[in-house]
Amino acid sequence: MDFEKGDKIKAIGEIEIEGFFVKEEDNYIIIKLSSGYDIVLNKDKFKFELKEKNKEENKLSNKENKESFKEKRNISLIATGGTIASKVDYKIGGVSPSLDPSYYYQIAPELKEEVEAETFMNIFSENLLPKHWIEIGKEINKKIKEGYKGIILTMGTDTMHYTASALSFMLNPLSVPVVITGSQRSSDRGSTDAHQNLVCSLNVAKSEIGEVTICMHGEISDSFNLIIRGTRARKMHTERRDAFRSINDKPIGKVYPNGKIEFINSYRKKAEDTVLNVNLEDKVQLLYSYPGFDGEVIKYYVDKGFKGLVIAATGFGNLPMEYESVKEGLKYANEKNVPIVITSQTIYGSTNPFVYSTSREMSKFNNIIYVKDMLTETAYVKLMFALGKTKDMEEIKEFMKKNLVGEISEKSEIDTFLI
Amino acid sequence: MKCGFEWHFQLNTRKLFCEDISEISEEVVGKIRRKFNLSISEFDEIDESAKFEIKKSREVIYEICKNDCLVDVDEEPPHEINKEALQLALNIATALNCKTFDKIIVMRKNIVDGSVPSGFQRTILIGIDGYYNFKDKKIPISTVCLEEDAGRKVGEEDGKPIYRLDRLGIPLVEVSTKPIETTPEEAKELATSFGLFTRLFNVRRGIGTIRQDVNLSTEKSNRVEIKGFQNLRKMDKIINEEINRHENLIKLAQEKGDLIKYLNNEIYDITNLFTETQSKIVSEGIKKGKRVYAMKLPNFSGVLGFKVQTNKRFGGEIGDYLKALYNVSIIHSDELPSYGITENDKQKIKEFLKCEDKDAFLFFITDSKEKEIANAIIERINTLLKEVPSEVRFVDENSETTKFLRPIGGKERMYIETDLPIIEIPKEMKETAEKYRNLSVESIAKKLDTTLEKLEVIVEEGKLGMALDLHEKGINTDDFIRVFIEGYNFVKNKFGKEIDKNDLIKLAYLLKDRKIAKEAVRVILEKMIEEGKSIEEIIKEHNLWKIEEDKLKEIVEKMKNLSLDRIIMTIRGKYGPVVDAEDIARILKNLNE
Repeated sequence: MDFEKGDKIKAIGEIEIEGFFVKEEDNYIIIKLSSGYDIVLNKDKFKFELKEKNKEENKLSNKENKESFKEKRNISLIATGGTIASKVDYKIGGVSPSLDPSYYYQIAPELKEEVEAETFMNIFSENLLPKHWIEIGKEINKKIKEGYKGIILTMGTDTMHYTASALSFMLNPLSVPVVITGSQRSSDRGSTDAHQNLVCSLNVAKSEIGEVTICMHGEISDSFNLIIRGTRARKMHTERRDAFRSINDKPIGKVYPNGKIEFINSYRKKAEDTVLNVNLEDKVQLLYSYPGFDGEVIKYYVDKGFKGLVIAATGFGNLPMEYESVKEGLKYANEKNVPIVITSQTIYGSTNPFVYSTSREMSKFNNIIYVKDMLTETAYVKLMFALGKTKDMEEIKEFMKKNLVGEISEKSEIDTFLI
Repeated sequence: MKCGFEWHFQLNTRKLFCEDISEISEEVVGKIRRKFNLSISEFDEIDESAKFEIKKSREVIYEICKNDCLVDVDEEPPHEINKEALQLALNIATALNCKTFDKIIVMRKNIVDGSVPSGFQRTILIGIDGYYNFKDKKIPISTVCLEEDAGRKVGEEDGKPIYRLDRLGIPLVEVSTKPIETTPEEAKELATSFGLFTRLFNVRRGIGTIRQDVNLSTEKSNRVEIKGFQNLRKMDKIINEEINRHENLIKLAQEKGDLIKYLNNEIYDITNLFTETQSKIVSEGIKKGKRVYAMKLPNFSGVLGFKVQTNKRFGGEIGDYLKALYNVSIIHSDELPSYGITENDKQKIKEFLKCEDKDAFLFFITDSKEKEIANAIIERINTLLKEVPSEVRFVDENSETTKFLRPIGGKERMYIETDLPIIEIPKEMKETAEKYRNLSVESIAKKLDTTLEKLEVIVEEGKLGMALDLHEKGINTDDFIRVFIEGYNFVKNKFGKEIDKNDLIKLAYLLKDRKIAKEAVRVILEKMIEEGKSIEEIIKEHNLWKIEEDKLKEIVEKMKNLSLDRIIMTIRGKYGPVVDAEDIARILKNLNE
């Protein structure tokens, strides 16, 4: 049976039904009735006939693509996939990314005049690799060199904060705003958060903020978005539109669809030039410690050739030093000169290597690095840059502990918990 | 006239796609604001009705209640479908003799009026091509669907609608008929009958739990969808008025249709003519910074004032449309002087616009979009003077008319719910549903060996299940009503107490076995509460056993020359409620033969 989406077909079985072909799967066919409902018909119980081929009328994507802008637009939108690009797809029966960059103008017509959109890649963010961050960083750098005054990067939300951290270290200094956004609710529906996210991101892309930021809803109402420093952002909820929060640092500000920005925190203004650094060592792994943690995995990774580890430890950054396996693991890594960065799985708060004797014991190993209140995910990314820069342990330590782009706080502000 | 019906009734289960309870709440625990945007459906087309909604204000306020969760505010994908609701829907579809499916697909129906935070309502086609037995007819049922109810509008703030989400997600069964040739009176009868039918199932009761829509067309006019008949009492009247509206519009189109050629969309700012006005509507609008815009309608005198219904004029048809689109009212020359606008004002406007007596004018007050509004007015007059437009209207019970709501949506409005897989209906569910095949009010009445009226009483009291159950055990319906409804309610009303089910069953059996008289039921129950004793004790102590047949014969024989009524009164007076009138009648008859 060779039907195409939209063909009018007739199904003959215990009843006769006419409708539009939607898709075929396994042993059934889905057709859309004139009422709009889709029904499932068993291929064993029905025969199917073509009544009329699909007429290509009133297709939106055909219509709105025709215009070309003579004037060069100032903002570049680089699309890399994710829920924001999603259109309903019948092959999979779920959402999957649209390839057409003009889709973003359909979601937010406000972008058309000032934003040049391109589809750069199409990957769900959970499948991204460090090498993709490099490709994206290079593309952003290229756009900046071409003269664009601001960059909007759209992507999936699952690992958005990893990409944000990577780009923060990669483009330092930065001469234009780089705003990362996406959506939690697919853009094929009227209630999508994509519209406000794109409009607010445009406002940030036109601002003076010379940092990589994430711009997503600030609350579940469509009221304002938050501008969150790339190295301080974390996805804190599976599905709420305000899932992204600023951790251990106040957001840079609130941005409204009407263009208004309320600054809440300090930020770096646009630099003279952008410098791109893509030297990163991607052989790093992230571990989690917990009651019953088997420290042998440290030895396993070291033997496998990984150049650095980040462990999200408990509390202040404590590892179960009474487990032989952990002691042995740390010892082994130290002997092999593999740096281990300690962060806290509490997410909020600063690690401290002095308060408890266990962590003092850990600090006896030369390769243990505490990084204060840096986020685990950010530390993971930053370690790659450290290793890309140098092999020397002391230099690695210095790099990790130094606040480069706002990823570490000097002072622990009081009102930055659960905001 | 041809009429198609659509009934929506709520099921008495938890919400359709989450675990919240279905209830209407007055307690608001939070508020959020959302904005709506154009959305693209399966076939890459923008839906007509969605485009229409974009013309209106797109910000919506939602009131959140205790029975709302992240799913309801569109911050979480739907949970697995409520199986109890699905079974109920299957039962109803089967009772209506529909063809059902082995696998069903949850669809999203675009709703851009803001009543649903996600922008769509989830709906599932459960059955097609059935029929409903009504009198001696088979009313053809086209579809039975299971869907989520939407939020309910509770007000407005600065032109933004406020919807309360307590109702959102409550399972709704929608039954649609094919259009049938009928009359307004029969339509009302059918609606009433169907209402009773729904209560054979576990449905929610109370105001707003069942909504009726009617799709109407006449010989000369196209289909109009009328939503929201809540009060069946006026249904026939309103349908009659609607038919009149169609006929009058057609008449007007025939007589005055050629006047369209004089229309133009020029607007004139006449705000300055109202600086001294007594009219509150105008002066308050001006105070808020709005302007008054007038349009001249050459040769239209009398047209706007033309009555299309008892309580609606042609001008009102235009006014309703503008209200729906732009939340703006119009005032026209045929209705002036009125609204505080004097004859003098009217003349001033006429002069300004250079109107002769044969001309009409109208004006509206707004602070924006005046050109758009003018175009909409011309568009609407054009449409109405050509034919009766096919559109969606809502019932206004006060004026007994219908008003424009929105254009009819097409197939583009629905697409597959991508967050849920295709649902397979298990065999057990299908088998359970089969038990309901061809169930109707008449068939239940027959089963219970009773009349429709008495069945209605039982259904209204929500005791159908019990009646059916006990009927199988030999309790006839009259006795059931006497004990479980009349007796129960008597005690509840008098003492505020509820008799235990087991006691009621005991009494019912005693009636069945003819051990107590019908009149004794109430007495026994009363004394039970007053004296706090059991049924057996009360009957014994108050001698409430029925008089035995032989003894009764003796007694009646002695009085056989008296009238039946006299005999009954005498015996009851002397012995108490221990005899049934029909027993006395029977004995008397035998004696006289």
